[in-house]
Amino acid sequence: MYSTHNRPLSVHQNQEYNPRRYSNNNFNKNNSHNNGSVNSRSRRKDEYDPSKSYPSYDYSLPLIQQQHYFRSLRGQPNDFSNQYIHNGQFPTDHIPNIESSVEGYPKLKKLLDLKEKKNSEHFTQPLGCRVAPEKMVQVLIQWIYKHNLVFDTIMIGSLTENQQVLPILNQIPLEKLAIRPGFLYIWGSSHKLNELTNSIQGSGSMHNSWSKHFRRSEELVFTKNVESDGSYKVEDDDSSILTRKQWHCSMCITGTVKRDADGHLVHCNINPDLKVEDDDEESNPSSVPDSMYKVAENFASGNRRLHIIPSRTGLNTPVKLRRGWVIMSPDVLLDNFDPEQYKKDITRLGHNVSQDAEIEMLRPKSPDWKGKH
Amino acid sequence: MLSSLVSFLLHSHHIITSNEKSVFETYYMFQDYNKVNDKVPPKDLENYLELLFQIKQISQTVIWFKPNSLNELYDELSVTNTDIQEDKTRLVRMKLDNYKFDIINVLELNILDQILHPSSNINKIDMSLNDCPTTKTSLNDFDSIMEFLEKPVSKKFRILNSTPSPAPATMNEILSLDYEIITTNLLEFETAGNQLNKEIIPKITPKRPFLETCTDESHAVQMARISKFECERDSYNKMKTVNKSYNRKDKHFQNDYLNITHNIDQKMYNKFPHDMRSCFEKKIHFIPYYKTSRKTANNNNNKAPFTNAYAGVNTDMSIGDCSYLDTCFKWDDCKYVHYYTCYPTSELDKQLVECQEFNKGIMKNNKIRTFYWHEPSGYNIRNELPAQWVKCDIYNINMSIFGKFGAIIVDPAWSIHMELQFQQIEDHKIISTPVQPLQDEGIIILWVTGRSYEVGKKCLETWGYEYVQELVWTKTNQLNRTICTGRTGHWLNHSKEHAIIGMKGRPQWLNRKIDVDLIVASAREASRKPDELYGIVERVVGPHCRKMELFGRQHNTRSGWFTIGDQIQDVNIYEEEVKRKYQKWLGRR
Repeated sequence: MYSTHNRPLSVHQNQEYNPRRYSNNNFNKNNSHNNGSVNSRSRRKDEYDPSKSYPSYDYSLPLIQQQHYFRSLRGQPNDFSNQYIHNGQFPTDHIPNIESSVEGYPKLKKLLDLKEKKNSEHFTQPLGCRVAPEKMVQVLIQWIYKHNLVFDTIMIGSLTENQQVLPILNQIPLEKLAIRPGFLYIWGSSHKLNELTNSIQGSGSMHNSWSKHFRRSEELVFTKNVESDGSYKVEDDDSSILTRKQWHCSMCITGTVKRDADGHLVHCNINPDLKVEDDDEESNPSSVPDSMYKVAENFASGNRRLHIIPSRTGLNTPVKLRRGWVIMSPDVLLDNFDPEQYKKDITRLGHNVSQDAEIEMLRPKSPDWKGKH
Repeated sequence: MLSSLVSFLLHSHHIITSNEKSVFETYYMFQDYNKVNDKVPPKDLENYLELLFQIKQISQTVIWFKPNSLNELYDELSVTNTDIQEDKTRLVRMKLDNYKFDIINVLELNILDQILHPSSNINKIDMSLNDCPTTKTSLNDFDSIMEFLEKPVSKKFRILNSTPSPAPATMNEILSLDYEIITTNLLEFETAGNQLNKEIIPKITPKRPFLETCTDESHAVQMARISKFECERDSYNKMKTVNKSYNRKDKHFQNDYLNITHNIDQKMYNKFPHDMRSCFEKKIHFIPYYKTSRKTANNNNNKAPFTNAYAGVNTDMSIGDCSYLDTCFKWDDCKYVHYYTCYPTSELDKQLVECQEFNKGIMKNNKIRTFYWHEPSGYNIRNELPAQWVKCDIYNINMSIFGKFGAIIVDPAWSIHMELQFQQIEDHKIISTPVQPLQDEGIIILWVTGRSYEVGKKCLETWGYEYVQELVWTKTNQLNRTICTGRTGHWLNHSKEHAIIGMKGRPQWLNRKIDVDLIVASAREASRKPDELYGIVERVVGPHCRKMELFGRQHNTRSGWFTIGDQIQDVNIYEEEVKRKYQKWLGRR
């Protein structure tokens, strides 16, 4: 099935094993890596002993003890935070699978490809609705009460500072705009996180109607390594203790959905909740990166997707149209959305992405699905 | 004539002063300006100079020149006796090229303008863009202004060529000079204290060896061809058969129970190209290996890379990597690809020596201080304390015996309604943790899980802290990749963990914005957090500061830190006062 994924290791099978030919690797000259020799022999006093635990790294200790400490480390011996201090290289810079996060997992890669293909079959044409931020509430209320429009997935906000997300959240009966079960994605920089969490919880002064219907289920994090083109930069202020680099997206769910029984509605555990993006010269950033749209598309199969961007997003992160989404923004290029026509289109395309036998087979299912074991 | 010069200076004062235009350059600008506005231009340079001098005579403070005043120049020029007109002009040109406009007092110029044109608009101070004449020359001005306005307070103009060059002859030449745009975003302007701190912190932070990872996949494949592995199966088998209740999560890593030894074919290795061999000596390589069952191995005359071990199943190289790699519990029965990490230990030793050289200078560098208010004091007064810990029930002990701390890490075992090897604590109990007496002023870092996110914020509120920001730990696997499969996560795969940072009081002594709010570190034993956090906290509050960890385990003990929790063994207190108070408290019980 995955015949393309061949590793040229089979050469090995043509060789005879000759113990005298193989020696302990010579580039580790101290031979200290031989920590698990088959013949357990008595060790000298200052020799490395894998069964012992060594204390944390202390530069005042004798060199031999420091060596032992590093040999006793499990996993990664490098400290990327320390490296950032001395070299200025971001910790996320060292991640090798930024470009394709599913590297090494052919099954998962195939699943993602299939999902993308299947989703695109049910996409509407790119739809834009150009509305000034102050008129948005009015237009959305018209959609709800006059046109009876409902959406499966609603995304609010973008990766820009100074957004007016909370007024939208507090003034629109979101529970009426979203179908049950429905999914809501709300963007915010780490400054606005506190306000946003309070709003989702409906606590404090943030009494609103929608928070009773939605519950926060996941927290997505997006970060970009270097912001050379000025996109997705989180502005820092004096309150922060660490330099801010994160964009957060809270995923909320309304209605009842069961991950094992509702396979026609949601496909769980396909994408991770973190996206690190490299500083790519060629990619032109948009108000919300494509990878984040894909997370929402891969998760819920509902075809009606709405993205509200209640602010001007600037030249560094322009609003881009996306197939399958209705994008409401003051800056969107197309203004071709007609509620009645949209309802007809959706009826024609189907409310949900249809089931696919191969995807069903490949996708992770039960809660105790343990990878590929 | 004078009035046109005044309006010209008003019109283009910002270009003249910000670019430090010389008197000579402005002469041409003035001529162009006059042409556009249909005004009589000055006859020659001397005429222009006279006009400037007239303005100076009206008020001495309208225009400032550098390096000296215009009067001196004028005197100097009138003294020089050259009869030939050409020579004189050249001399004037030469002199004027060095005379630059320093300050133009716009307010005074406006007053002057009002006197000269009583009818003109008062609001001339803000030069309106609409008044800009639309010739080519002023278009350039306009562009530069537009560029300036589009990025408010972020750009500043400066002439690129600082070396003296032959004076540009025409206005077009002047304006075609390259402008370098310096981006200084005022909103993100770093304070001097912060800048100094950023310079000092790397000098007093101990350097650690840093081993690069090889990015050339073919190296690992080549290495796999000449590699043989041995593994010590005794402890693994013992674990499986003798003690069935053996908790595998205690011994989490394959190396802990498998002890894989790596052997290479020396002859083949020597045939490798030089650059490849030096790569093996310098960088970390992950060598994929496959396992064979006893049955297959016997059929194939023992050609498996494992010379002494047979797994339950054959490894299938085509189906990809194991989701857990070196933390796989079912090593024996896992048919996915696993990797052996090949560390360049000689390189590590070399770097350790280099780092030690650097770290010797830390004591000396500690004496350099910024003397700004936001830095922890006492780098020289106190030494870092050794690791201290107390095994106790946090809910029963009198917390005030431990004294005050500058930073606290809390890593409670949130109850996640799943069976784990350690006891979980209910939410309401965590909220009631007596953290309050431990700190008057400082920071707290609370690890939370997805579900306990909201509860964690409530905790901070109850304990008297203000929410500041969040820290995200990106979990990585053996290959240092982000985790994208096989882990927990109800709706999406979880590849990160959150920690909430809270602050109590208004500590002015924190080193702010030194680190980023992201940690990339490999996942280790269940619920064991990355050690990088300790380094980050030490940089924020200073290494000498007293720091505490609540709900800590034995592997959390660390010099400079006071660890308490019920999963630690014994008591180890170094500070006399705390020891006395602890014994007193024990006696009272």
